[in-house]
Amino acid sequence: MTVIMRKTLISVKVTFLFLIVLAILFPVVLTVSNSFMSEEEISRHYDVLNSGESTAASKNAIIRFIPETVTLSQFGEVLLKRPKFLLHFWNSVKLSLPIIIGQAIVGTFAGFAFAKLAFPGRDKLFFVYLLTMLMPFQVTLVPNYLVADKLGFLNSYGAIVLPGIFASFGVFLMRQFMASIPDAYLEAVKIDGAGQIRAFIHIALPLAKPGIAALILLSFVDNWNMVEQPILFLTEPIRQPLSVYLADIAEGARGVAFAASVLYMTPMVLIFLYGEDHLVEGIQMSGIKG
Amino acid sequence: MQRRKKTLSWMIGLFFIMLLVLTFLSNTIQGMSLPKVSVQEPEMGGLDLNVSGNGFLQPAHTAQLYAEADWKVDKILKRKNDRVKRGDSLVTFDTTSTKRTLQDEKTRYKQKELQLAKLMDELKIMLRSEDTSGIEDKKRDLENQKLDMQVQERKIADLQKQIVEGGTLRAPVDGIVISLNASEGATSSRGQPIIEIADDAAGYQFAIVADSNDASMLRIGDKVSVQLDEEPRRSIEGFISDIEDAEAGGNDGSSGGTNKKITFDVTDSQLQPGLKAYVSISNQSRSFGMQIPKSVLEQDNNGYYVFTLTEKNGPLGTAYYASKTYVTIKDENGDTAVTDGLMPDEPFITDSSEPISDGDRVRY
Repeated sequence: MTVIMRKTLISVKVTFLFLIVLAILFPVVLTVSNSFMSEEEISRHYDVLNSGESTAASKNAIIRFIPETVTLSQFGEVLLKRPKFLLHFWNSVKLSLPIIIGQAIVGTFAGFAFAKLAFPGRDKLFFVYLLTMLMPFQVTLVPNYLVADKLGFLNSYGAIVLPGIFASFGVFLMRQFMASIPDAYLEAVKIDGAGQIRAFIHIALPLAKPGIAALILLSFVDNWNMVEQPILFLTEPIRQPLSVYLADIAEGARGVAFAASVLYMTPMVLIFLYGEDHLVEGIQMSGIKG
Repeated sequence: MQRRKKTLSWMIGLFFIMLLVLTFLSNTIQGMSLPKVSVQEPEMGGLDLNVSGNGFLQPAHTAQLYAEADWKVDKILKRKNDRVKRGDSLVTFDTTSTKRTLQDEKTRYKQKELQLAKLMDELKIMLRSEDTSGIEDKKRDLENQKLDMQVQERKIADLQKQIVEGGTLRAPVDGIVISLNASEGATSSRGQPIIEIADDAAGYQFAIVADSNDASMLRIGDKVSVQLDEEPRRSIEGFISDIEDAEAGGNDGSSGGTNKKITFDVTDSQLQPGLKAYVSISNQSRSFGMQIPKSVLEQDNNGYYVFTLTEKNGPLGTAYYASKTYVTIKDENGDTAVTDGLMPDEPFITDSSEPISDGDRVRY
């Protein structure tokens, strides 16, 4: 392979990747930049979406990245004039936080058990666990609903939080991570006289930190964005999390939707950036790729 | 790397703290930006119709007295505003001229008597004589003379009656002299009444002008209490004798809607013309509904509406909203309307710091 060919290949690869990145980033950048536009400017650009005249080919939504005047008025509108946004934001927090904490605890313990403890039927049980993970949400939806109904959890956060805590993904991730911890460490501790609990607390847990961080991150993204469960289990609109409310906020004021979306993804982005290295490390070590 | 993490953790913390603070302040911030409204609850019932006013008493009926002839006024016994009783002498006349005429007429009567006697004598002579040709003619002359005398007799009787009865003008009714058109020594004219007497028996009346909406409940014959501007003040009973359309655009500046002229009759022996009388009638209209001030009524293509205050349990406590409520007006007067369409305990917005529209959140 000549040098020129190699260079051409590289530049083709780079161009291809660049296009993909562009496609992925496009909505995010648009949302962020439009959130600094004034309501008037946005409604002017997206006027065609309001009129409902889809046939008018000449009238297309004008996509602009640079605001005519940079203003924080949309943020002000969302944060100051729409207390509902704040309410739904805290609803999201109330839903995600217990799930994340619970999942981390349950996942760590169960992962350790599945990886390091020998008990009869362990692998079969784990396989069953995996099966539930492989099933799409829509399959388990009806049974989930029936169970929640029987337990009297309908229209309460319990209907979402409890299944969330015991979701198989956390257990699976932590089991993979724990499996990568060399048995020799644990055996050494046990030789020194430590029991299982001590071995777990002093050896497995510190070593599993990146895994827990990765789990927390992934779980946060997953739960912060959930839409189906709240719609299904929560009948009262004011109990819905932000992810559901976001669809309604733009009613009558399109500009607000951009600012609300930016505020919605801010905690996710910040937490992701904060735990980025843990995530990469954790996923690498657990043997899950991608 | 460590620095980046620190910055990020700060940012995450700040973000959540900011949202916490904003949540804490959300009601306050909302409150400041919302239009402040004042509300009132409607009162149930009919419309308060108030008719009040004052007027000057006018006699309902006056007796007009004329002189019997063009006499000189001899004496005026009662003056204007004097109270008179039936049969009281009011004015005496100098009847000399009529007496003279009477004398003349009597003399003329006597002359006619003489002529009659003469005709009788002539007839007797004719009857005795042989000539009968002129007898019938003479008889007719005689009869004619008799008729003439009868006329003369009646004339004399009339004059005598005039002198006896007309010499002194007497009050035909109890009442008050309200006008006098004579002065002593001057000749009265027969064209206009010498004296006018307000008849106590017929009573007095006065009229006020009221808004026709207010007056809608009044009926002819309704009894009312009338206050008299006397010392001490007293009130007597009167009744409505007439309600008619008044000319629009009275001097009180009320525009729109017609006015009604309401006439009240009062009867009392102590009344005087020109006395000021007050009347105040409060009534409730028959229409029953919610009373609201007219100032809160607004109108659009679908009719009249008011903004009512509705309470909703919002995400962060109770929130108040203005909602358009259509009403039908059953009755109205100057500033109040009776409407249908409101609940008794439904507060309506009377005033707002900013213009509001349907569904707006408001501060209350």
